[in-house]
Amino acid sequence: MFLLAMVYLAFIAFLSTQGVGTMGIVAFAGFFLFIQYFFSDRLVLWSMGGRIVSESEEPELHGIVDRLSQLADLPKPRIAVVESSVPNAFATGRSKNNAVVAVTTGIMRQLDRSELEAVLAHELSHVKNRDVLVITIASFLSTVAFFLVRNLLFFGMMGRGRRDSGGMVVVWIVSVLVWLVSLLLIRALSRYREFSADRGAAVITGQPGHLASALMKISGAMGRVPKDDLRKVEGMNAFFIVPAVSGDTLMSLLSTHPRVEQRISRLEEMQRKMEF
Amino acid sequence: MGLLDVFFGKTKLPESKTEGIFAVSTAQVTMEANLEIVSRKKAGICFKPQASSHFERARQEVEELLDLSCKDTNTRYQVVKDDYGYVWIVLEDPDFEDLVSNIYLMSEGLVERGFGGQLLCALFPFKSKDMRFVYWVYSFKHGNFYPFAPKSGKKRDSASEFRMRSVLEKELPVEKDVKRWYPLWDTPL
Repeated sequence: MFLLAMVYLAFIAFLSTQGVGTMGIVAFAGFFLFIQYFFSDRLVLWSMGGRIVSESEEPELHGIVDRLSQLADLPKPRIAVVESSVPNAFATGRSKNNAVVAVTTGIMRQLDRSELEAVLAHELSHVKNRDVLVITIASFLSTVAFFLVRNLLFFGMMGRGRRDSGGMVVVWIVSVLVWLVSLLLIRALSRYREFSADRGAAVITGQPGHLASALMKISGAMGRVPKDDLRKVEGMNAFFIVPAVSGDTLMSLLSTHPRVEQRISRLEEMQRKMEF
Repeated sequence: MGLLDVFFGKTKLPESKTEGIFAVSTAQVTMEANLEIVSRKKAGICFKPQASSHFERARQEVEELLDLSCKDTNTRYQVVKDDYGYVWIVLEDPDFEDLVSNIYLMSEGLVERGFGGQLLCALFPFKSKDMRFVYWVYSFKHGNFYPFAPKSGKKRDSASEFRMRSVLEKELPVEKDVKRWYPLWDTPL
């Protein structure tokens, strides 16, 4: 968080010395972020194809969320279902009072009730932690940088013969760098918030194990846990293949979610802490 | 949850307020006199079990206390696990005061041992004149009550709920924010 703020401060300071239509860009980005923030619930639901469901349509989901929000002391969010076989869940809405928690039909099929509860608790923690607001603020400044990069690219082509094109190039390179760094930081921030929500889910449900097993099921990792008896495997002289851990550092830097293995090991750590 | 907790994304379960629960005793008398809604001689307390040996130990200790107290007040009780993974202690006693004090004992026991956050609610079931079930739910998070009148098909009888509130508002701390009137379906009470 702190790093992110530093980078942005530096960037804004740099922008003000150059003064290339900055105000316009900021206003433009601000406008978009404002829309995104205020209509996040509708926008996200619309883009995912989610439908708000009533108590009589999905009594089980409602029953779980009723109890969880009472435990976590949150106003009950609206609940949406997305027709999709991909197991997924998300939360949106700018505040606790506008929150929507959504699940896909796929996740409802794959998970049992306690796992589904853990997933919903994870999404409720996002609501409780105000993650839409946090990520929106973080993306605001990076969006400014992004628009600036595009603008300068455009103007750079148009005004090739101009004297200050050297200055332009510097601005351009700097904004690309800032944009890249801020992208990485936002992703890091997002991963941090994911860990927090996992932790929240474990606190609310009191059962870190349920979320861990839900994560394993969703990621398909369940299939990796061998089902054959050890004796049988030994008899067949089989070797377990150690999954490659290295080689994906760049991917993990860029992704918004931490790796499932990491998330599960954090949950296991929580379970241990609860015991001691 | 403080601003810093939000900043760092540290979810905590809010602590529980247990004292407010005694208000239901006088309310029960008013309910019977003014609304002809009578107690079903039962009460329940619901909590979310935590998967840890500390919690199991605390729960055992508290249940032992409850057992002693229930012998003392001639209250019958049973432990029920519901479909949502919550545990209910269902008490039965013709004396309403004994119900309330045993519920308080149970909740205070968990709070003292550091597991107040696991408490979901206490439930006081009543029966109206036309034999319909209505409830007063005690919310441990806010230390106040709200009415719950279920109808068939997972619908709520809002008219009854608002009537219950308007009659009892003076003697019972009722939750003002109706968004926090969480329904409780499929309870063992």
